Amino acid sequence: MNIRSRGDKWFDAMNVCIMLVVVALTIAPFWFALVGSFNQGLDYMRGGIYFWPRTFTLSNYKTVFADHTIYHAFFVTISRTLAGTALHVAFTALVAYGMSRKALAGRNAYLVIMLFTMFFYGGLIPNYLLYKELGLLNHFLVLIIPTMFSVWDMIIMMSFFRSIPEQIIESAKIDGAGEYRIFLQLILPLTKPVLAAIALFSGVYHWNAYTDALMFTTKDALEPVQLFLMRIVTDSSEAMKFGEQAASVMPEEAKQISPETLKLAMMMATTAPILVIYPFLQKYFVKGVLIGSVKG
Amino acid sequence: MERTLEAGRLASASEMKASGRRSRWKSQFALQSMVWPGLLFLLVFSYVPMYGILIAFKKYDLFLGIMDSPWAGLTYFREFVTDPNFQNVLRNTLAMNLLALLLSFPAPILFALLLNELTAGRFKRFVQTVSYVPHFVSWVIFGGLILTVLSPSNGVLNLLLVKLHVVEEPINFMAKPELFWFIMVGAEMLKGIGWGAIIYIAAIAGVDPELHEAAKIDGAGRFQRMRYVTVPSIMGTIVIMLIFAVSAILNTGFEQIMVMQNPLNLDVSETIDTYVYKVGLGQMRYSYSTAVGLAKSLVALILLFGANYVSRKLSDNSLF
Amino acid sequence: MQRSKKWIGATLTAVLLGGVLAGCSSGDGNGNENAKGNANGNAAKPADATAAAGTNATPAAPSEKPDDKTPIKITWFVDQDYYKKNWDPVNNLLDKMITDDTGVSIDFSSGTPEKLSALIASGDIPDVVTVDKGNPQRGVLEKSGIMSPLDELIAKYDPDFKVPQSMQDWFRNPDGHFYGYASFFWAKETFKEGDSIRSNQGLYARKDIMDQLGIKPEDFNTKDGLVAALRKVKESGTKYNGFTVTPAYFESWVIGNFFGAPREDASGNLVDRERTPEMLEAYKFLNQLNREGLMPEDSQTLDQNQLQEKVANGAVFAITNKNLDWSALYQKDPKALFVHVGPVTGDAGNKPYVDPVNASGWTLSMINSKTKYPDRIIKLFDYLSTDEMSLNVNYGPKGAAWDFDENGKVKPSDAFNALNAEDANKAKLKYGNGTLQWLINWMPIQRTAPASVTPDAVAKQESAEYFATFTYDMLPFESITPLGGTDEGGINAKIEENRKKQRAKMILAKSEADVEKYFNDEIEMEAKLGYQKFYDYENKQFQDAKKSLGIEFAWPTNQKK
Repeated sequence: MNIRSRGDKWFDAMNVCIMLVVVALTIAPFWFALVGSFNQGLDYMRGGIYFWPRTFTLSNYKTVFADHTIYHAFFVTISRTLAGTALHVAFTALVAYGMSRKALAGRNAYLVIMLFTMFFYGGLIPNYLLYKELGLLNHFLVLIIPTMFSVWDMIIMMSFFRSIPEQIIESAKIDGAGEYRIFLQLILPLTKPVLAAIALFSGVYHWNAYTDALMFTTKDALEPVQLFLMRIVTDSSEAMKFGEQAASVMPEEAKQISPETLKLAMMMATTAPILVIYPFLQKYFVKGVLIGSVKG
Repeated sequence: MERTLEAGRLASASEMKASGRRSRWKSQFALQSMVWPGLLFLLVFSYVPMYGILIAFKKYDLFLGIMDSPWAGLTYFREFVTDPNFQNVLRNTLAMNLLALLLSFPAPILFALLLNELTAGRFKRFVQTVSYVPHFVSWVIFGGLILTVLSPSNGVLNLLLVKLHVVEEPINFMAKPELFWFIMVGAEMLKGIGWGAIIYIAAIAGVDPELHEAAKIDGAGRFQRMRYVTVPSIMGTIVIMLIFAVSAILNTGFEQIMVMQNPLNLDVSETIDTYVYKVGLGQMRYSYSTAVGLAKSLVALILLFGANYVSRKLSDNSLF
Repeated sequence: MQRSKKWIGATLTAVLLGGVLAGCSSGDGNGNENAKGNANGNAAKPADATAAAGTNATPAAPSEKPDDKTPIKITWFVDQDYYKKNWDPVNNLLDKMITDDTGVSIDFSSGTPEKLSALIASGDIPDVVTVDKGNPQRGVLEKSGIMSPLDELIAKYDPDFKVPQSMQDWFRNPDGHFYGYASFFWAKETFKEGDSIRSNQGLYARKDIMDQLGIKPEDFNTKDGLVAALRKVKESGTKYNGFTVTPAYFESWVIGNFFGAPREDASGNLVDRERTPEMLEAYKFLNQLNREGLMPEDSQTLDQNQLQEKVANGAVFAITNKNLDWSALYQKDPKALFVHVGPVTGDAGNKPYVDPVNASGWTLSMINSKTKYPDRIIKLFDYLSTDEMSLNVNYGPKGAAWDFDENGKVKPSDAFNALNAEDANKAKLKYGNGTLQWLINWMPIQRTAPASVTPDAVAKQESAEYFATFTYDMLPFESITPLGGTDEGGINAKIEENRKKQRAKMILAKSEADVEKYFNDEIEMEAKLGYQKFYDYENKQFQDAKKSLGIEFAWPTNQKK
C-alpha cells in the first residue's frame, strides 16, 4: 500500500511536469500573437518581440473595431453559431442513434451510402445552382442548412451510442418506451460528453466559417465577422499592388498598424469569445457519467 | 382438455409472436424514420451536385459549362501519374503521413489519458483549456512562429544550442531536408494535441465510474486501471479515428506545408495537395484538380474499407 | 464537411499568404510615393503641374459629368474576394460626390473567380463585372455575348469618351471589339514629359556603411567592384545594432537583368531569359558570392517577412528588392539609409535592364449586355476614368480630402490627415479614399504625388527615378504568360516549381562546374515537363502582341538596328 502510493506520487509529479511542458509549448504561440497584436506595426517588423509589447498601441484593435458594422457581423456569427450548432447536433444525433441500433434494417447499406459522400464533392458551381433552385441564396438558412448534417460527426456519435450496453435499451423497451423516448430520455443524457464535443466542433466551425457567406450571399446583413475581418486585412494592401504601389499620403502615424499586427489583432478578436465559452462546455468532459445508476 | 390447453398455449404463443412482430415493426419504423431524413439530406446536398465530378473526365470549358464541355477521358489522371514529379510527391505525402500516424496520432490519446490522471480539478481544467488554444492560431501565424524559433540568425533554439555548446555554428533547420518531415509532424502535433484530445476526453468521461471502483476493489493500481479499464473503454473511438486516419493517408496539411516550404526543402516538402494546388487549382485548371481529387478519394475509400476489414478481423471494433 | 473544411483551409491560406505578400509589396509604397517631390526639379515645374492638374486628353472635367441624373441603382461584381464597399452617399464623401454628379448608386458585391463562374452558370450577372485580366472568366464574358462591347456603347451613348488607343488595341478581341476598361493601365500615348513607368527592381546599399568603409556607388558597376565592396563589409566585421551585417541578399532574376539577359532574339522570337548565358553568368556570380560567404545560405530559405525583419534591424548591407521595407530602420536611425548604387554589369558588357511594373493593368470592368442602363453606365465609366476622378478615388474628393498646392502637387487636407492618423479605417469610411479603383489611372497620381522632405523619402524617390531609366517597354511581353485554365498554364506552374528548386541549388552549389551542371539538368527536366508546348504558346502570344502593337521587334537592342 505504502509503496504504491509513493509510486503514485512519483507518477503524479511526473504527470504534472509533462503537463506543464505541454502548457508552456501550447500557450507560447498564442501569447506571442497576443503580444504582437498590441505592438506598433512598423516596430513589429523588426522582430524579436516575444514576451511583452515593445511599442504598445491599441491601434490594431481600433482598426478592427473602427467600422461599426462589425457588431452586426458579430451578431450574424453568433446567430449562425447558435442556430447552426443546435440544429447540427440535434439532427446528427437523431440519425446517429438510428444508425447505432443493430435492429435497424439496411444499416450497413445506409452507412456505405453515407460514407461515400465524405469522399466525393461536386464542386462549387453545382452547389451554387442547387442552392439557387432551393431558394437558399442570400438567405440566412444557407449558412446553417447545408452544414446541418455531417457524416463524420454522425459516426463519432454512433460509436458513443453503441458503447451503451444493449440491455439498458432492452429493459427500457420492456418498460414500454418507444425508440424516440429512449433516444431523448435515456441516450442523450448518458452521452453528454460526446454531444458537448460535437457541439464544440460544430460551434467552432460555424464561428470561423466565412466561405459559404462569401460564395452564397451578397447581402451585408448576412456577413459574418470572419469575412468582415478578412476583408479589412487584405483590402488596402492588395489593391495597391498594381499602382506603382503606394498608400500615397499615409502619414507616419498610420504605420501604427501593419497587415501583420492587424492580422494578429483580428485573430484575437475572434478567438477570445470562443475561449470564454469553452469552460462552460468543459464540465461535460470532466464528470464521469454514471451508467450504473441508470441501469439499476 | 389437453388439446384445449395445447391450443391455448399455441394461441398465446402466436399472439405473442404477432405482438412482438408488431412492436418490432413499430420500433423499426421509428428507427427508419430517424435515419431517412439524414439520407434525404445527403441525397439533396451531396448526391445531386455530384455531377460536378464529371469535369474530371472533361476538358472543362467555363463557357460551355459542365455538361457541354468535350470529353477528355483519362487525360488528366494520366497527366498526374506520368508527371516526372509524381513519385517524389507521392513519397513525401506517404512519408509525412506515416510519420504522423506513428507520432501525432497517438499523442492526443496519451495526452487525454494523462490528463485524466491529473488529480487537481482546477489544474486539469486549466491544462485542457490551454492545450487546445493553438488550434485557433492560423498556420500562417503558427508556422511563422516556428520559423522564428528555428531561425539560424536569432532563433531561440539556436541561441540555446550554441550557448550550451551542443553545436558550434547555428543550424539552419529549414535548409536541412532530412529534418523537414520531423519538423512538420512535430509542429502538427504541438498545434493539434489539445484539439485532437477532446474526442478522447469525451470518451473517457463516458467511462462508467463503477468499472473503476470495481477494479480498485480488485486491487488494480493506476497504471493497471488505465491499461485495463480506461483504454479498452475508449478503444472503439480510437479505432474509428485510426480507420479514418489511415484512409486520409494521401491528405496533408496544405496550409502548414505552404508556410514552411522553401526552395531548399522542396524536394521533401512537396506533397500531392500542395503540388496539385500549384499546377491545378492555383492555375484554375479545374478538370485537372478534380481528377486528382477524385483519384485520391477512390484510394481513400478503398483504404477505408480495407482498414475497416482489418480492424474487424483483428479486434471487435470496426465501423461496420 | 470534411471536404469543404479542407477547401476553406486552402482558400484561407491562399488569402492569408496573399495578404502577407501583398503586405510586403505595399508596405514600402508608403514612403515611395511620399518621396515624389522637391528633389525632382523636373516634375516640380509649374507648367508641368498645371498640365497635371487638368483632366484627360479630352478638354475639361465638367463635360464628363453626365446630364441625366435621375437616381438609379446598379449592381457591380468584383472578382476580388476581399473587396467590399457599402454605397453610402450620406456619410461617405466620395460616394456622395459620385451619386451627386451622376445619379448612380452602386450595389457592390465581390467574390472569388469561382463565384463569378457560378454567377455566369446561373445567369445572375450584375450590371457591371470587374474581372482580373488574367482570369479565364474574362474570356467567357467576352465571347459569350454576356457583355456589351465597350466601343459600341461609346459610339452609341457617349462619343466623347476617349479610351486610350493602346488600351483598346491591347484588349481587343478577334471579333474586333474591346469589352473592358482596364485599371492601372499605363497608356504611353497619354504620357507627358517626365512621366515614366517605375520598377520594383534595383540595387540598393546602406549609405552609412558605405561611408564608413569608403565604398562608392560606382564600385557597384562591375562584378569585381561589387565583390570587393561586399568583401570589405564582411572583412570589417561591421556590426549594427548588435547584428553582424550580412553583405548581400540578391535575387537571381534581377542580377540576370543587370547582366542584360535578352527577351527576344535577332529574328524576333521570344527568348526565355532563364535559359540565357547571361542568366547562367548571374547564377555563377551569386554562387561565387555564396561560396565567399558574402551571401548566406539562408538567402534561399528566409521568407519575405524574415528578410524584411533583417533589413529593418539594419543587419543587411545590399539588396535588390525594393519591396523590402526599410522604413522601420530609418525610423530608429535617420543615418541608416538605403541608396541606389550600380547597377552591376556582366562580362559581355550588355546594357543593364530592370523590369518595369506591369503596363497592361490589373482588372477589366465590363458592362452587362442586358443591363437596363447601358447609357448611364458608360457615362459613369467615362466619369470615373478621368484624371481628376483617379485622384479623387485615390485620395477622397478634392476640396475635402486634398487640394493642389502652389506647385500643382496634391496636398492632403488637415482634416483628412488628422482623421487618417487617428484611424485610417474611419478616414476611408468618410472620404472613400482607395475604395473604388476599378477604373483608375495611376499616372496622374504619380505626376502629382505630394512632396516629401525626409532624407529617406528623397532617397527612395531618387532611386525610383534612377532605375526608371533602366526600364524597357514591357508591354509586348505582358500577355505571354498562359491564361488560367489552360494546359500551358499547368506546364508553366510545373516549370516554375522546378526552377525554384534549381535556382537554390545553383546558388548554393559547391563549385562553378556544379552550377553549370544544374543549369543543364534543369533544361533537360523542363523538356520532360512539356517545355516546347509552353514555349510555343508564349512565343505565339508574343508575336500576336507585337502585331497588335504594330512593332517588329520588342527588345531594345533589336529595335536600335
